[in-house]
Amino acid sequence: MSQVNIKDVDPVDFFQQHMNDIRSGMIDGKSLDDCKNCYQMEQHNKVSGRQKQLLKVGVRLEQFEKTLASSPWVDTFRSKQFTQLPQDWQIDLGNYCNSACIFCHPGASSRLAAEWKRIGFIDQMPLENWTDSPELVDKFIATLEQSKHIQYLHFIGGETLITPAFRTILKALISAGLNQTATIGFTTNLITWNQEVVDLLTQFSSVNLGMSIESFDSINDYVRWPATLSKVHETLDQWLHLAKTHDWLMQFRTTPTILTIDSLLSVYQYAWDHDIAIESCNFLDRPEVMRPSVMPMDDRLLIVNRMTAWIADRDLNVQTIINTRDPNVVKQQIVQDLQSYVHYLKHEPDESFRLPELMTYLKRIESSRGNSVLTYLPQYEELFRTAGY
Amino acid sequence: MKNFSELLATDLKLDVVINGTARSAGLHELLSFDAEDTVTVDSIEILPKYRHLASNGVLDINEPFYCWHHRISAQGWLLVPY
Repeated sequence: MSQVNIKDVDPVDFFQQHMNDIRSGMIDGKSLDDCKNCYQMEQHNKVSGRQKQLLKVGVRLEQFEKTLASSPWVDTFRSKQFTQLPQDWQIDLGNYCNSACIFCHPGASSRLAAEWKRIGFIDQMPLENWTDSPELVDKFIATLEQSKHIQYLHFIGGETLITPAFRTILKALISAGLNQTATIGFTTNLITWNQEVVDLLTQFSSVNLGMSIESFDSINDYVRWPATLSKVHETLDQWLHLAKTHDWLMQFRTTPTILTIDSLLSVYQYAWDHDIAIESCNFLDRPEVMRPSVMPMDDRLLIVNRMTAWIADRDLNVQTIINTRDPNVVKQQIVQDLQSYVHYLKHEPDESFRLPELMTYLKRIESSRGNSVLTYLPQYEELFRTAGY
Repeated sequence: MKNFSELLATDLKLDVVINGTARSAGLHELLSFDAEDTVTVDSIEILPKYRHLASNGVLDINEPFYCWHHRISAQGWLLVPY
């Protein structure tokens, strides 16, 4: 897909015109490079983003032809002219963030960007966020206001709660009355609380709360630096209370990496105990050194054994759940998500040749942070030392 | 795998089995079943599973089967064009 900017292209034009190549490719039955992360997820029986989006137009992969031909959208897809307005938005607010997660990148974390610049990983800071421009935010809001059939808006960053445009957009949606019909989704990093934004969110009829966490073990502090588990627990308790009070859907949003795959079960256990769904991201592709598949196969199989035993203890018959936001199947969805990691760890090719590069990266970032991965993962000292740590 | 045009040119049918007897139905055909029957459509159990949706002993499916099934099986939003 061509790289375009809201400065130059109206979001509706982007949706109606610039995405035509993608639509045409799909209609011609092509495999699209932009969809490769979803193809990989499906290969490991993980419910992919495209499956979830297809479901919203009534299409299911396991009965693809019949559900597509039955979809309310079939005539729209058939038409040469696409004039629809977006009903389901994923909005990247930019990189304002008070976290500097070790697997993240400057385009999604201003704090990491500043650190990378300081230690010489990058020469220049990322481009200014579009949300820094009041004119562009106004332009975007005008687009939303003309889209009266918006079903869902999901906001990501950066950290949504500290991005001023998030508050501005929520206020505008409320003024336009869209809070009565549209569901708001957002992801937050569990070390931030913003009462003004919370007060705005409570005015929406439906909210999907995504909470980023990688582990309930101390490695979370290292990976989601400078978070501390005590702060995470404190913030999590606040969100849980709020979400239960307002009947919001809660999900943990995890990004498993080689550093957290060993203690990933702690998140599934907490989720199971508290009836919180887990929607892990696509299998991490970049940075390559952080992929869970960088873990040597022998170590991976030990983790697989623990995960498999945990799943067996749950004794649930899980059928594929595509609607991962169905609150009635939270426990099944938790097991389903974990099963995909069992499959991934068993079958994804061993990429442990990347370990030396990972060690080089960790040592440089630790020189800035004054910490050591071995404090958090002593069980991997021999592995990491052999790889050059 | 068919492309979109080939797919639309295909006469797709639902496989309906009522009390062990099979018949086919059009994808957009409106369906009606005796609520006491045992029914599957494309191997998806319909009755007795959804007997509670019947009215006066009849389960009417007044929209394309897969749209109906999407709604009653908790698949979330089904967006429609405007």
